[in-house]
Amino acid sequence: MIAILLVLTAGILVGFLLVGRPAWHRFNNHSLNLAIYGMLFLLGISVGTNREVIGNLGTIGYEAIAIAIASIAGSVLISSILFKFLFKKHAK
Amino acid sequence: MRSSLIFFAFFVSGIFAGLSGLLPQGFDFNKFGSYALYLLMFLAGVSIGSDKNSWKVLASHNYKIIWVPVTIVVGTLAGSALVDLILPALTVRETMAVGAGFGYYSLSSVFITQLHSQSLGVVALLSNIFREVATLLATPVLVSYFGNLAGIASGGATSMDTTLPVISNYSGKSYAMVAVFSGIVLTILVPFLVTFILTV
Repeated sequence: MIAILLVLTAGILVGFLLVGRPAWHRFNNHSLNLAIYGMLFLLGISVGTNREVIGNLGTIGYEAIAIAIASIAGSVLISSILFKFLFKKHAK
Repeated sequence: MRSSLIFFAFFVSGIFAGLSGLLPQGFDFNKFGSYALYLLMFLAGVSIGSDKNSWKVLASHNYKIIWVPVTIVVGTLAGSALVDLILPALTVRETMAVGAGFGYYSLSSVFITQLHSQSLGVVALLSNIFREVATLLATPVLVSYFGNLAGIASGGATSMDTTLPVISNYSGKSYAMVAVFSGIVLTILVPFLVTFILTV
């Protein structure tokens, strides 16, 4: 885990050196997208060849929607308290 | 929205390629393993670090807006921990890791696949795409019931780009800056939090 976080931090520092160089910024975002396309395609292949996952797509979809709704509900509820106490007063 | 369709299309075409049976059974995603993950992490870091806006917005002086991503992290993790009660097949750690994608489906699904398992990676992909789509659809309603931060909270990491237009439409232009700030902080947090939740 430490190795992964070090790589990420190194990336952020390298990125910091590239601030103000839009060509590099675009190039990097392009490579990041390509890498993610590739990984998602490979993830799709491994899902397609994995009977266990394919057989459970219904359950997986249900779990995905439940977690998404719970995440949205939790953050919306707590942020509405923050809004009431910190943001609304000042807006008036 | 367009980019999420492209990402999803790559994933689905992968599934069909796998189902076609032209590939050997038991294709092992993890063989591409940690090196691909390191590359992805590095590129994601560069992309965050080289974005002028992220440093500018992070340096803004309004202390109040710091609380916005904090409450989103707390609310998301609390919600995704509680939902474990109705999902017996998953552990609290697993549901929280999926929640910690904050809508950043592309990166979080790949990380979770690498760090944990393929099936949880698919849950993360679908769940976080759903969070983005639900935010696009529900922001008008959420804002009218729960205040101007609701769209930002619902959008999570996506409030800095894909869901920003709908948020600034319904919460007002003055909240666009808050949305960008919160989205950037959460985007940076995704890889750290997912790794932390799954490995500690």
